[in-house]
Parts: sequence; structure tokens; C-alpha cells
Amino acid sequence: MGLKSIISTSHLSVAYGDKVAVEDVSLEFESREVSALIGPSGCGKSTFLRALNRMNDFLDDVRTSGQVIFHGQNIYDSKIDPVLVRRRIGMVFQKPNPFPKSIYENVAWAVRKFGFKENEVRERVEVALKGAALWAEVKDRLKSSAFELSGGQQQRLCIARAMALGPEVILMDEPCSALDPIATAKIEDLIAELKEQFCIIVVTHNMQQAERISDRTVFFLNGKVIESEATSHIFNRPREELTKNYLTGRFG
Amino acid sequence: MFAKKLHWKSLPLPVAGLASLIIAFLFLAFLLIHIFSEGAGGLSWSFFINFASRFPTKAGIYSALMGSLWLLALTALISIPVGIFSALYLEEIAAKNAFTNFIRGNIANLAGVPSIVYGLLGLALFVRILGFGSSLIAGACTLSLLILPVIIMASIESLRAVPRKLREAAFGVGASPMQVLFEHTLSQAIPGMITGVILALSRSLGETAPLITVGALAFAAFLPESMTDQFTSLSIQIFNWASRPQMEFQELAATAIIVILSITFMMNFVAMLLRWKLSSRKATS
Repeated sequence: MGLKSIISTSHLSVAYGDKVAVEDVSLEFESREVSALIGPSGCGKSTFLRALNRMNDFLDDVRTSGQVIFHGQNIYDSKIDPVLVRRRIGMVFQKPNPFPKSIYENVAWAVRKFGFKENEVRERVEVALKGAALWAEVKDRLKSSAFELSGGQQQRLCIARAMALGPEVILMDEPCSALDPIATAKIEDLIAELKEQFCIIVVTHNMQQAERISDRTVFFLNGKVIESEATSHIFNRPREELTKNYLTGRFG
Repeated sequence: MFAKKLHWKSLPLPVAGLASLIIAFLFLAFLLIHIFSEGAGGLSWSFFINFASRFPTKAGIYSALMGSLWLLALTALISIPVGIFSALYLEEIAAKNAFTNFIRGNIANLAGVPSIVYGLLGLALFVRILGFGSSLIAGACTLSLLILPVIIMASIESLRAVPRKLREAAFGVGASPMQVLFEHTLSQAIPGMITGVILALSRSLGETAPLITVGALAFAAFLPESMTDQFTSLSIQIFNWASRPQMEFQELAATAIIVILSITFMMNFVAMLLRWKLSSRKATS
């Protein structure tokens, strides 16, 4: 397992003030695999996800200890620029959050900042929009505002935006929680396709969704990892009593 | 069965609200009618291009109007960059600790300090210690101090109103903190900032007490040619004319009030237009 692992954590803990949100988590994530992080509200799964590309840096009073190893380097090392880390580890948020710009500019902005020439930018935007299964729907109105898209289209635009920089890992924080079932199904299909290129880590509240889309499931409770197994294992024969109780709806 | 019933208990609030609105509106209408009936007759081209004079028929607002425009421009040049950068620093860059919280709270307090106090500060600091004398720049610095708290507060409020998810989106695609600030956050906050700036500047236009304190002229038959020149302003000219007993000067004061009100209304109108135009491309939360 260790050989293929692209991003891993070692004794990672995150605390807000004196509340410990994530406690001593060591996990490995592999390329071309979808991992689902599940657990009840407040179990630390989102905090853990945001720690993987240093999105917690902007919250006041957050302390992170332990390591996140990406390409053999600890991204919390003082010599590491978190901006460069976030270009390799993309993120998709709970609610679609396109920029107040045109559809094209939403994807193009970061690519351009990355130093590409305008014709390369155009190419990358097209590839990313195709990759996010949005191209056919928007190719005739790239100039119009991203806010004219439906919620599901906006979320796919955000996925295209994250893909356009060519990251290796895409983090998704409950990407379907604000979407209707049809839009959700499209995102789930998309995740299955993206898995061919990226390591995808998805936080989800929805256990059926975790079962449908993921290869591996990690169950969080009170900031700790209770169980991390192949999805088919964890849903059929969970090792831990707590996992079984959660999956069968005894608490949640 | 489902018919609406008018409950007498719910009546007092709308009635009191409407009554208050009518009272406020009546006062405004009375003020405008009074000013216009007294001053409108004096509006003529010569009123704008004549200097102040002992003879009411020859008196105009040339030097006062030019003085006010100079003040407005200089005050804008000083207060806009200082105010906006202070707000950016306080809200976006400085660490949130007890010290910056203390400063933030006290900026709100400063907005409530009487303008005459700023006048005295301006007299001591700009006129005397820094040796600007009773010049345009001393007046503009004083007015800038006076409106800075308003500009800073308005800018902080509009920065705060930028949805957090927009910043997260930008950070998420690897934007640097400065790119997030200048290319995403600021473009969303600017309509609110502009409105705050224009309203603050239009307030500075009417200020009289601080200018009298820093030693603006009550009578000037010349135009200021540089920012170190002595000056007078519309507000001071109005004060001067209104304090004279002769009816002719009272009418001149009313005419000058029409001019100053028109400028203020125009500035507020521009603020409204800009806000309306710029906010059409804003992010919704």
C-alpha cells in the first residue's frame, strides 16, 4: 500500500482553541482511488479534509500538529508555501462557490495566474470543462455569468476549476449536500470518471453515497479514526462495533 | 372563514411610523421651500463668478466655491487612500487580537467626536506644529481626519460583507493571500467603499466649525492658487452672510445654500448610481 500512496498523514491532530477536532490520525491515500470520509456531524471529517491542503490556515485559533506528507514532504514544514500546495491539491466545497465572473473566467483565472499563455489557457479551460462533463452545456455561453447556471452545473464548474490546474489530489467537502438527486447523480458519475486521473477524497454525510462511489471508507468519530477499510468490507463486515452501530443507524 | 381581520392592536405601529415619516418629510419640504423662495431669485451666472463684496448686489461665491472644490479634492486625495488602506490592514491583514480590536472599537468612537474638536486638533497640529498656517492643506488635513473614521468603518463593513465562500474558492485554486485580497475580495467590496467615501466627502463639504477653527478667511476677494494659500469655503461664506442683519445678505446665504445642497445631492446621487451599477455584478451569498 505504501508504495502507491500519494498523500498520507502521520499523527495529525487539529484543535480549535481548546477543542480537539482531529486527534492523532494516520492515514494513507492512493492515486486513482476514491476515499469516502464518513461519520456524524462534528466528528472532525471536514476539519481533517481541510487540513490536507492547509485550508484551516485561515481560521482563527487553529493549531495543527503531526504531519501531512505529500510527495515525501511535510506540507506543514515552515519552508513550504501553502499556495503552491493548494495548486496540487484542489478543493471542491460544500456549496457551489463560483467566482462572480463569467463561466470561462471561473476556470481560466487560476490557470492564467499559473503562468500559462492565453491560447494554452483556452485549451485547458476546454479540457477541464469537458472533464467535468459541463462543456456541452456551456460551450455556447462561456461569456455569461456563472450565476446563471443551476446549482449542479455550478458545482461541476467548481470541479472543472479545481481540475484545470492539473492537481493530483481533489478534496471534496460534501459536494452534493446542496444539490437535488439528479444533479447529485451527475456529480457521482463524474467522480467515478475522475478517479482515472486523480486521488479523490470525499467527505459525505450520505452513507449510501459513500457505498456507491468510494473504494475505501474511513469512519470518523469524535475526531478519531475508528475504522479505515475497503468500502465493501466496511459496509458488509465492519470490524468495529461502533462502525456497525453507525452504519445501521443506531446513532448519527 | 379565512377573511383578513384588522386587529386594532396592530394599528399603533404603522400609524406612528407613517406619522413620523410625514413629520420628517414636512420639515425637509419646509426647509427646501423656504430656501428656494428666498434664494432662487439670486441664482445667476454672475453669482458664481463674482467675489464676495460689501455690496449685496455685487457679491458672489467665486472664491468660496473654488475654495470648497479645492478642499474637496485635497480631502479626497488624503482620506481615500489612507482610509481604505487602514480598513484593508485592520480587516484583512492585521492579526485579530486585543490591540486591533481596541483600535477598531475606537475608530467607531472617533466617528462620534464633535467636529469642533477636530478643528482644535487641526489648529494645534497642522496650523501650528507642522507650520502649514491657515492654508488649504491645513483645512483639508483637518477635514480628512474628521471623515477618516467614517470611511474606515464603511470600508470595513463592506469587506466584511464579502462572502467567506468566495475567499475560500480563491484560496482553493491556489491564489496567494494578496491575490485573494486584491483580485477577489476588493472587487466585491468596492461598491460599498465608494458609497461610504462619497457620503463622507459630501459631509465634509458642509463642515464649517473645523474650518473656522483652523482660520479659514471669512472674506476672500481672491482665488487660492496652490494648496498653501489661504482660503474660504461655501460653508463659511454661508455662515458669514447668514450672520449679517441685512435682508439682502440673508438672501445671498439662501442662494449659496441652494448651491451647496445641489452639490451634496449630486454626490449622493452619484453614490447611488455607482452602487446600483457595480452591485449588479456582485456575488450572492
